[in-house]
Amino acid sequence: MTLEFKDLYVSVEGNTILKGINLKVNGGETHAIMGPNGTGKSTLAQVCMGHPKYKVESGDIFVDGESIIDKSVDERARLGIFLGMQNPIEVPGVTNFDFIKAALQTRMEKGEHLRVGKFILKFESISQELQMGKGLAHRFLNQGFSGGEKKRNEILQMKMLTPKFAFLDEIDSGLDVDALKLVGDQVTKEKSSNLGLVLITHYQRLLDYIVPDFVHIMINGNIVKTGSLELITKIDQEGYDWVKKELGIEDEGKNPYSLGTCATKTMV
Amino acid sequence: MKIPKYIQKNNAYIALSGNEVINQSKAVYKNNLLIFSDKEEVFVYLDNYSKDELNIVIEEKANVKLFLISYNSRETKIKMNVDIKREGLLKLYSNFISRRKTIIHIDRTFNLDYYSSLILLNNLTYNGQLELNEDIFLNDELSNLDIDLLNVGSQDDDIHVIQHVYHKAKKTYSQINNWLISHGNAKLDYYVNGTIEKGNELSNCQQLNKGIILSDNGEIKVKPTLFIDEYNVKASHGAAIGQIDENQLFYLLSRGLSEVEARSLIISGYINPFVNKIKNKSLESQLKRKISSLI
Repeated sequence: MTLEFKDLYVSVEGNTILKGINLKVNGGETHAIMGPNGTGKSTLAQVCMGHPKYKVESGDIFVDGESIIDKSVDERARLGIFLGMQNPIEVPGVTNFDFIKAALQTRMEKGEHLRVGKFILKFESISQELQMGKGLAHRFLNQGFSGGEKKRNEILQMKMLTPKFAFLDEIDSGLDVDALKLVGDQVTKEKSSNLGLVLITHYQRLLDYIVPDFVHIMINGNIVKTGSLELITKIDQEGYDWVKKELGIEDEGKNPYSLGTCATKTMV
Repeated sequence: MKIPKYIQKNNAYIALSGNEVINQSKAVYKNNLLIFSDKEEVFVYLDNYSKDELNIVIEEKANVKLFLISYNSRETKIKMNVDIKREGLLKLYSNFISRRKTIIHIDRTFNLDYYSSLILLNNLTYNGQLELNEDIFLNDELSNLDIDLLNVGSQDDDIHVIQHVYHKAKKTYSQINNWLISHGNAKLDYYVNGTIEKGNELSNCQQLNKGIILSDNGEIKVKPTLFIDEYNVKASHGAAIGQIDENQLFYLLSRGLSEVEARSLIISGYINPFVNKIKNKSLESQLKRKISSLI
């Protein structure tokens, strides 16, 4: 079971964001991707999920050796890719229960039926584990949820849908200390040879609870360094400047340009 | 007159056609006048009803829930006048159904007395051309109005609606929520007006209009307008019309739902708040079936 990015270049609205990503995630492995803001970490997760905003310029993404570049978002999801989003979307009027039930039903073979009783028990058990409170099933999807509840709801969906590969994009933001521990413990509980995890985060604190096997540093749209836990400590203490210095990476200068002023009148 | 079974099976119903009246309720019917003076839940069936003005009176402190179902197979004009007396409550669900593509004109006037309440649920999933003109007069203090309107247009449907709420007394309250969907070549045209006259302070007039256009040729126009001549009031209005939110779509797709399933779930989420307010299982499932067949 592998998910592999090969020499992936991705652009959005003409700007190249990912510049030759190479990454291989095997089942059972946990990878952490860290890096300064705006280096393309979330883009990598969104591109893997097939977000239409991004254009793959070259390179490929493979699941178990098969390219998924031409597959639609839902096909990728049904292949076993999951994206726990940084900003989970609110869908008014659609209950959590109906949504997850529909997501499970769509994964079923023809003639197979969802056993609703079993589904309800599993849903309730997981929402209890995540301390989501009663009535979650009948609340509208993410509507009126606090930041922490939204993130826990992403984990609930991951646990219900049992993906093969899960990207958790800044799943720690919006969580207080207790909730972070809870989410960390619940994600760790999911670790198995049937799940490849990719954690995108800025902070060491999440990785105290979900211990990664590999740590990658991403700068300027590329993975520039890969290591293990010692990298996390160093980043936490010293930031990313030492990496840039060590590898001779210069910040991508963006040339300032004039927007003009209201008082300017162009004479033709 | 052939009354649909789902109406007949209810304990209380009134059926009216051009020349026939069947009254299986506690209401009193006399010369196009229906008087409700108790607590009652009644189906009112109009079969190609297109003659004189139908008058409805909700007596003092009466608590009435009406399911108004109108079927027409030819061009029809319905005129209704509803008076809600002191502390009366009327919950009125209306559904106008065409047996074939045709035109219906509806003129309704509501007059509310002291502390009376009107809750309107307007289901406009009409096949053809519909013109609805509703004037609601909040004539005395503490009279209050809630309108929820769901309009699902498809094919070449042509819908024109004018809603006007007149705050004619102090401390009156109105809230209008319009949920509009246009599919195919359907054109939905709305004028939503609220008037608060001078001196009617502490009144509250709210309007919310939301529209989803599901096709290239669909059209939704809403003109929300407030005519306010008094400073000490609360009032708001607005209209948000667009296509299905791409972020919502991506979110559902990313969980494995196909595009058709995802769109259908988003639409059902859009209509569910309206459907849940009907509080009649048979009408709720009828509406859901109708909408899924339309879009």
